[in-house]
Amino acid sequence: MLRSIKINLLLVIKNLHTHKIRTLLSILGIAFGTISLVVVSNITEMMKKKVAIEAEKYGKNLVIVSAGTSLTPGRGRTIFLPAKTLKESDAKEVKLSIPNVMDVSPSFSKSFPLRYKESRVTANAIGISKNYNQLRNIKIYLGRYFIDSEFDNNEKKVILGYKIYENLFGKEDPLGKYVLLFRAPLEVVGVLEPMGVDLTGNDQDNQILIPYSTMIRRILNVDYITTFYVQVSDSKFLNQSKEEITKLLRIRHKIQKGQRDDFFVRAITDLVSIKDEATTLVNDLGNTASILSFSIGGLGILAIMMMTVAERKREIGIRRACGATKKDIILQFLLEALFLTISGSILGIFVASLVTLIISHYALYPLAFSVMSIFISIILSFCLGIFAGLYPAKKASDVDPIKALYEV
Amino acid sequence: MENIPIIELKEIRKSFFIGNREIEVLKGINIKIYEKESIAIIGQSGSGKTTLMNIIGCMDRATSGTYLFKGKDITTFNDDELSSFRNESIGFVFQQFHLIPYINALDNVILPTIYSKKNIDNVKQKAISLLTELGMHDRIYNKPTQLSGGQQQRVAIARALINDPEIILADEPTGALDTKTSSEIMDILTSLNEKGKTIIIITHEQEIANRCKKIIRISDGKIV
Repeated sequence: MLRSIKINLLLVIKNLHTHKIRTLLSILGIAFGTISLVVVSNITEMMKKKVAIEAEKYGKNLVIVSAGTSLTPGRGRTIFLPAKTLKESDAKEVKLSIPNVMDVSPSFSKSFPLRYKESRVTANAIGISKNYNQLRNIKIYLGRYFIDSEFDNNEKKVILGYKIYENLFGKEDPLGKYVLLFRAPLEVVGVLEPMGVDLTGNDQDNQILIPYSTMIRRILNVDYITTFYVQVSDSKFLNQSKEEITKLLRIRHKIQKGQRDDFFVRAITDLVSIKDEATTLVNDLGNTASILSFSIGGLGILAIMMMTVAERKREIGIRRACGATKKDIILQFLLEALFLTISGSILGIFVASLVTLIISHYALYPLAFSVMSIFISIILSFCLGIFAGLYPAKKASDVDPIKALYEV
Repeated sequence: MENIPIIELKEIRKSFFIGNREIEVLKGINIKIYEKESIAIIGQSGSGKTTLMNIIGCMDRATSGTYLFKGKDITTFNDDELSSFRNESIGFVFQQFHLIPYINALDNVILPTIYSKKNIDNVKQKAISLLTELGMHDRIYNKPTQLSGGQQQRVAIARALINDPEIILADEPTGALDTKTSSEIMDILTSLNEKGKTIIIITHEQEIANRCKKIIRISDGKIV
């Protein structure tokens, strides 16, 4: 049996070799199905890995409290109503009265035009507290982080995001130079490393950091904040802390029962799951496409197998005369169909891996492979091979050998 | 043992239906063929000789009658048993050679062994030596289209021999060949007989039939 399979397989390969173009075309459907399945799964894996890395980069065990109301009236639509009700004292109270909270870091962010000599950009200016660099992961590329006195004395100092630095200064050394925020000159003390877009959608390369007190007292003169970060001692307290913060802030903001919050609280894990949900959608679309492609591929194989059986009636007669049973003939054509679908699948996996490498290289995604999708596509193509091979193989075994041998 | 025929046909009849009309092609054939004989079955086209050969070769079943092989009734064999009987005991040689076109001579010779239950050691070596014996040593890896008619028939004979069958059943083996090549192929078949194979040749040519030790003449479905 095993030897018979081996030799039959060799004969199958030799036969397909004589019809190279036809064979290639017939396996394309399966190959495309495999490509879309594997590539999309790989992309999903890569996106998940990227989100995980981003979450790691964002900061450890963080709850983000933002001012304003976020309404989601319909699927996928979000309306944001800003509010001026979030105060620095709210942040302090959270730190004082909620257990497991290690630290809080209030901040204020607003878009500003920024100028250096003739170059102008629009930057997202963030007023940050002393401990910002302990809660959020930031890396300094040039210069340094603020020193305590700069916070305490409301000094006009700034740390530039990487893109801002590039756009304003080019090759010039920015340290010690002054940039203009509106008309306020700020001395550059540092430049951030390129960090890309963070989990909340902020382009960290397009931001500038200013001491918090400088921002709200000297530049804006406001008494509210836009965001504060809360760090809890362990990720298992994230959800519990979220609830407690919400409860506390509702009381402090005197929000009645039935009224909406004028702030919103998100844990870092919520952001991850939202992103993962989006990738799942992409994955579902990809899977639908690949199922379509697999079905078309299966029909293609079925058609090719019907054709090959009709063409090779004489061969079937010869094999029967040489002692092949009907089962041997069924086995032969099943093997042929399986060989086609599985080589289509292997071709697809090969191309998909190549595509994945290219995507990872150009889209700067961390490389990841979905072993599961490779496994599934092989299983799927095996099933398709059986499905597409069985009927033609049965037809082949029913060929009357005498007719096949004596009809010219 | 000597007097048990290797093949014994008793009152073999075969009829076909064409539309509603039943046509009897074989009308009670009785043949005894002994081991190491060489037999020619000669008859005009339409005499039923090909149908008879298909029945002897177990490619077809008789409508009635008994087929004994070495005294054993194989009339009742099912399809799988008949396949395995063909595989072990009968080597076919056809007028149109019937080689598989997309594989080379060697693979064509090996073909019957993949359906064999016997474990033959070194199938490849055996196939090569059969082809060499038949003068095909420099054509082993050629495809059938690269071979002349006589060469193709040699490959077909090697294929018929690979499983060491008791009987070589040749249907007009020289029908597609010129006189000189025909005579070479007949030399091969008669020499196989001299080495102990039972040879049955179906033909319509008297000269071919004359090369066999015994001639059975068939006409209108009967032995005459």
